[in-house]
Amino acid sequence: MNPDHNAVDRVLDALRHAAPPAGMERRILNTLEIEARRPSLSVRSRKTWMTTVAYCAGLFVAALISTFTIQRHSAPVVSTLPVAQAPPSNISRSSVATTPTMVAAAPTLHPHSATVQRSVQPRRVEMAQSEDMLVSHPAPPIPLTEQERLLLRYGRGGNAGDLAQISNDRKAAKEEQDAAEFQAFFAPIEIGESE
Amino acid sequence: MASFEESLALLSSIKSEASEVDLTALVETHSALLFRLAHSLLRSRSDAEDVVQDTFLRVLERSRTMSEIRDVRLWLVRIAWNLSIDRIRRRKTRSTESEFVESLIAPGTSADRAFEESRQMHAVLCEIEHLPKSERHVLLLSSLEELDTAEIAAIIGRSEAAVRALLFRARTRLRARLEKAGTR
Repeated sequence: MNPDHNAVDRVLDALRHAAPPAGMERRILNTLEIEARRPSLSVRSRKTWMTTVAYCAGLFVAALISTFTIQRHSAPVVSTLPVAQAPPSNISRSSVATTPTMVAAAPTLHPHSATVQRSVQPRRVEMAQSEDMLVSHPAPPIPLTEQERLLLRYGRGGNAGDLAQISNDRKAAKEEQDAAEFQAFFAPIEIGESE
Repeated sequence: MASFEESLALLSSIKSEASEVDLTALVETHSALLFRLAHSLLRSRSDAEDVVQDTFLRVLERSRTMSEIRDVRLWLVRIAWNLSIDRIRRRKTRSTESEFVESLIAPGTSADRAFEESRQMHAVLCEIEHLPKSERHVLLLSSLEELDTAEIAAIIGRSEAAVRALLFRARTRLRARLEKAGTR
């Protein structure tokens, strides 16, 4: 027989008949007895589980509080809008005051994503409205009438004679004179008389 | 009034006392088989004993579900087998193999003969380690005469026909490799 084959059989035979060390069972039973006296593994795992649940609940409450605090900080910005801007005369003050209150209270009834969108949108409106009130954004100039321009020019000059020219009588006389000059200039020429 | 945790601890202690007899019986009945099973993989007596102990500690942890297990012996074997594989993965060197080989040499053998036998045993163990994993596992499990083909198939998750084929291939491959190494 091949010595290698003999060696294989000897190795497998040795593995098959390996005897456990003396006293192994007693040692294992002692270990099991010690482990059984300890607090139950299920109780320990339940403790760990309860600790994990308590930790997660704490984190959730903290997240809720921080979300609520952020909303509280962002809500007054929206609600003070009508106070900074004078409402138009045709809108009653009560209707202006109630509208931002509804906007500020609405996010608490919606999911977190909707809250973020609503907290961003009023700020954008506020910025657009406050820009109109800045000094660097005056109202567009209204064109003055000719009379107003004359009055402005004469008022700045301070000349009493010029001011008197804008009176109705003077103005009527001036217009009458201009009309006469016009008629005289464009009047038809009589050829016979001129010759 | 005792707290809820104290009540649970008391209940579990009562249960463990009730199942202590069963555990003792399990240890006395199956510890030798589990030791040989672990030893076939680890080839270290101390490591194999640790695996047997860890196996019964797992049983203690799962004592509540013991009633649901149909074949306790096979369940124990699978736990010990998996624990042994885990231990091999964690172990970096097989430094205890020489101890096992020395135990195979009969006392009173001459030094030359002992050296030659030791070399052959090392070669066999080395070739067993270089077999494909499934073949190696089947070969080692089949060396335990307590396990039949159906149980080996259940342990490694293969069919019985596959186990027989793997065992045939393992033996053939092992002999071929040893002959090739011997003719060099």
